[in-house]
Amino acid sequence: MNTIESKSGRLLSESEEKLLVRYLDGETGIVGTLRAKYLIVSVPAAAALLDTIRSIGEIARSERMGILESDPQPVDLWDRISTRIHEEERAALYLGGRTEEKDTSTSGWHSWFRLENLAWGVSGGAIAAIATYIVVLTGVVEPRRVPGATVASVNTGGLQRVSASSRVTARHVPRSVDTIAEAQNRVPVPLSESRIPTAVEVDWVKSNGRVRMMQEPNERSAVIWVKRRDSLSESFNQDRSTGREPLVVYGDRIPQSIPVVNVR
Amino acid sequence: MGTLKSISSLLLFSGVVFGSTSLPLFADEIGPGAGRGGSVVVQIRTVEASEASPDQIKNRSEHLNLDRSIEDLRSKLQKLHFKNFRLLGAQSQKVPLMQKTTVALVNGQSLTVRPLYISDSRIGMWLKWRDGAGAEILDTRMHFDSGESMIAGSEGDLGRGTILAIDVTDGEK
Repeated sequence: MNTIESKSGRLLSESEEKLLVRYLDGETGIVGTLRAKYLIVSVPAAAALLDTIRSIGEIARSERMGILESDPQPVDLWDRISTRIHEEERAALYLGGRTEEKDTSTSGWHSWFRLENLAWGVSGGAIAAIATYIVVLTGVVEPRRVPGATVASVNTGGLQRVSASSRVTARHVPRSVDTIAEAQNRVPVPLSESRIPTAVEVDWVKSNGRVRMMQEPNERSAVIWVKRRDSLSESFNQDRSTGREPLVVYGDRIPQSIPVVNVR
Repeated sequence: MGTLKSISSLLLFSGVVFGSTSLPLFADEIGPGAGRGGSVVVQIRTVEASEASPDQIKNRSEHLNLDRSIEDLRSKLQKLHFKNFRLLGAQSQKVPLMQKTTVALVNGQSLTVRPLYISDSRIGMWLKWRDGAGAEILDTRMHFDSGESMIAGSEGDLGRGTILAIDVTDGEK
């Protein structure tokens, strides 16, 4: 069973972590709520976990206020869509239809195994637990939220397994971020001033397949793509029939940490 | 020693139960949307995607073939390896903040949404997407911009895929 170790030595089990997340989401019943509260009172790691998740939610909510201008005149949603459609049509009329750049990296199942895809890929049962959350609990570095960073790790379990396996990943994430501070004798660098806020921020993702998030730095939205396990198996079988060396993308052969990169 | 530990645990638990702690009882009290009323309007467009047809392959067509009603999604859909996109249906649902609502999609799948907060241009939402058999496709909690289409897609069999374009706006405006 995967666990997260607190500073006091008490471990949070998978079920306890899951319970706390459900509690925060308001998904627990009365008994679950009482259990969660008991846990929070009795285990410091539980309280720390709860605080961290809450603060991340708050940060995600408040960060963009003041950065992005809100729409001064709210427009009906369909008006927005309709306007966008007209814009596309006009653009197509004057500029010709959009054409795609030929990019073999987006075609074929094998593209899923390219390094950059793996970097963004989130696999197995679930993933993208927040870097800060991991960092706080493992005590690797100071808690700090990395904007736009998707903590990608590979596993096949639930949310807790993700957390545990991401511990390795978390060591990579803040390391690169902290390089400047280390070079300047640990002078703190206000990351929030230098970073470009991302449009979509994910607290966590669970899936029975492999999840990939595609987000352009200059776009305000993202595409989340799930390659389900059955279609992965299908690709595997197809590959066997061709006689090529198959790549296993989930299971024991999966790399345990994947660097977080911003992919254009 | 074990008995003493059990008793102390029981006392602590009792304290929790009978309110000797200041911890909130419900998660809503501490969640990001705590104390906020209001609602959001969730617009879901279900799109079927398919790979290039033999003719398209033969003609080496790079053009995306998609319905006019999803033309606004073209730039996003270009990131995928599909060539043809067809709108299966569009649904709209007003959902109060912090409440869970399940929308039955036109293709038999379902999307459960639970808006956590909405503040100016930012929205926090929990999403759970299930297939027709009830199996979980995606379960996530995320924060994104209001007025922007958030795309979630799933690869199916036979070169087909299902895409959900999710738009969320403030239901009080």
